[in-house]
Amino acid sequence: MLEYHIDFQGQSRAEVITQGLITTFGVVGFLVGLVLQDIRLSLFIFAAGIVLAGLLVIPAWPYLNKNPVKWLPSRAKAALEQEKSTVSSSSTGSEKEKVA
Amino acid sequence: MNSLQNRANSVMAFSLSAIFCLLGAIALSALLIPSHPSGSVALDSIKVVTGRYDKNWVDYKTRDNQFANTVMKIDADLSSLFHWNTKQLFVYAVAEYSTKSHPKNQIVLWDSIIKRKSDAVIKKQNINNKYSLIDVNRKWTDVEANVTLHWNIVPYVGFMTYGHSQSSGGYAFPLPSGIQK
Repeated sequence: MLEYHIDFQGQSRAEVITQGLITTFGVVGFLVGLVLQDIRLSLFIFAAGIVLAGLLVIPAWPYLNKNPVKWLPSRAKAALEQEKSTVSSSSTGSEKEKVA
Repeated sequence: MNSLQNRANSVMAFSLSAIFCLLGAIALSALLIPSHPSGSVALDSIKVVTGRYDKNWVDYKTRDNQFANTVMKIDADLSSLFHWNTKQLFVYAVAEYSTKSHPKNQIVLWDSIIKRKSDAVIKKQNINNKYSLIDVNRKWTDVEANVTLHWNIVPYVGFMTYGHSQSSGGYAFPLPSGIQK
């Protein structure tokens, strides 16, 4: 599936950008339309805000992925690697101790 | 906001909420914009004729229903009613009178839809009434009518607002003096 995940800071930033941009364009559009007495202009400005917010936030841009979550290494993988390095001691029963 | 669909959804959802606020603000702002419309209607002549009730609804029994034919003069400047939320104006001239059996009667004599500010200055003479002027009792005895120009602002979004000019008044209806074709 097309998921394009972003990290947690990116999500918070994306939300702030969406709400801030659309609200700002809405307010500016209202004021410009009121002053120039043009309802069409006001709605076009608002629509531009939506498009801009969508472009900035919907694709997983790199700036939304600056702080990826650092996971701990997988236990199974670590165990496997350790087992490889200590092939000589071929006891399977002691594996649990090593992992712990 | 973690996946693509999630972000698209939240942008759409927030913009939907925001556009309702924007449209609400536009609707409310339209109520506060000042305007100074002026208008007047005058009847140059009234003639009462008798005839059948209606061309389409033929009343064969009687031909003595009394219709009033008027000639109107309309003078109005409604251009200040065109603000950013005005889609069109509906302008109509109303005759208002009272009879013994019906204390308040209002009949539309003429109407018009105005779509542009440049058309909002109305100066018309020799307008015949567009709609039949006939009383419920089908007789015009001892009736005096006022005529008023009404207007209705149809907005793009928000509230319908209404207004009217001062009624010009006291037109007495004469006795029948002819037969309607």
